[in-house]
Amino acid sequence: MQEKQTFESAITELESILEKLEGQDTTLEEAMQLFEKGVALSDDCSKLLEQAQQKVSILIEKDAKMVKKEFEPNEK
Amino acid sequence: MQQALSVSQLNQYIRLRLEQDEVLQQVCVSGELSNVTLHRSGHIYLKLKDEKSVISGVMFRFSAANLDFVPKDGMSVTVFGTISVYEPSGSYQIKISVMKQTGLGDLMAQFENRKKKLSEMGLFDERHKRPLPQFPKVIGVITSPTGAAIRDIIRVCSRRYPAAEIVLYPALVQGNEAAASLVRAVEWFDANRAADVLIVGRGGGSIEDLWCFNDEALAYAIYNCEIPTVSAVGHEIDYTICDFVADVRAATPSMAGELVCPDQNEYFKKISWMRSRLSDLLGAKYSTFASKFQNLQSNAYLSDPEKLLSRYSMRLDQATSMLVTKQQAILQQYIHRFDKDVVKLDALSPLKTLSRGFATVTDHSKIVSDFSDLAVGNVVTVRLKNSEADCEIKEIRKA
Repeated sequence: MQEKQTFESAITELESILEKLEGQDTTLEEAMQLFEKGVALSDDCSKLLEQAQQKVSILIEKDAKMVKKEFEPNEK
Repeated sequence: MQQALSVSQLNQYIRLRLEQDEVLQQVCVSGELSNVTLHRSGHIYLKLKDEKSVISGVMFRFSAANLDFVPKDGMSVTVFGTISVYEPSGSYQIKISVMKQTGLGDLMAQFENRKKKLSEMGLFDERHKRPLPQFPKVIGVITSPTGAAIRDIIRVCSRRYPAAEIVLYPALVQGNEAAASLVRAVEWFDANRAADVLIVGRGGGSIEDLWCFNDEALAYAIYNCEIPTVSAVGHEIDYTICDFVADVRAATPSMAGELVCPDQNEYFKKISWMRSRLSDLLGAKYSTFASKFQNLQSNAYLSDPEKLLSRYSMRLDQATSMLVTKQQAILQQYIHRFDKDVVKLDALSPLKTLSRGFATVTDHSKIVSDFSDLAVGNVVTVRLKNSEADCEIKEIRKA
């Protein structure tokens, strides 16, 4: 459907759907479409959060450029 | 001739004399450190000197453990301790219980001056402070890769918002090279737009350890940096120039993690709230429409259209019968008037007069009311009740 949905874009869209639904001037048909979209978006939001795995990288200088490498903090 | 003492007797005597001296047992002395040796045992051996003189000193492990900095040659310090004598070598030294860095007064003055200057330049102005992004995708961290700060930040961010990526730019966070290293890191992130938010900081330390965060070049680098920056230097009590110039000051690196990350648990709650709100709103919408529909359905005219018709047909009937009554009344009026007029007319009819013996005289159908208009010999018509006669005028007289 969309290229790449971020948590931010999903939750922002969900907020605007709620706002529309709260308004008086949606027809019942529009309201049902908005509802379906909203439910899908809230699923996406939860999924995006659940699937997220913190990536930690460290920058290393290589050929005068900084490149990312996975970072393992040394435990105490 | 006095009796000679042995060397050890003399040294013992000196030791006892010095140990009984109140001043020497609670001495406070300032000087510069030299020949500092950090022994493996944890004891620190050193010399304390000024321009003219020098004294040996030792700080035993249990006292050294309380130091908030690592003593180095050339540092100005003030020490508290007692003078003791080492009898075997006949030497005396100061046994140090507490050591503080001096010259800190100078550093504090420098800090205040710089803070005032940069504040006047507008570097700390509120209007330059940017808000932190609500959902950072990349969190740039500038600190030591081996310090506690990065571990604290990673721990807090993983708990709160694992959706964000953490990118660490390893930097020196104390010593002469540190400021330049921090500046490089800030400028790199800024130039490459490599993060949505930056954390610059380190864990706690002495004012000298944190000194690089008071660097003027670093202040300008942060001031010019387009990426919102959180300063997280030392503990709550430590304030640096970096704290003032950054968009947000965090009391500690952990706090910086909290400030930079939204709490995903809050978001799970928010999402489920939004979801139930969706259902509520749709439900409300549905029942609004349903009740509107019901209202329409129960409307009398829709359910029984004849009712509407019967109302109108009743009105039509009423109007029709009213019209008929009215018409008859008017007609009656006219008939009545006509009858009266006929009677009146009848009363005035000349025929009635003729029947009483009166006659009308006409000349060529014109009523003659005066014979002087006519001449003798003219023929006029004389009409009585049932007949008429043409008569010739024989004579005209005045009546």
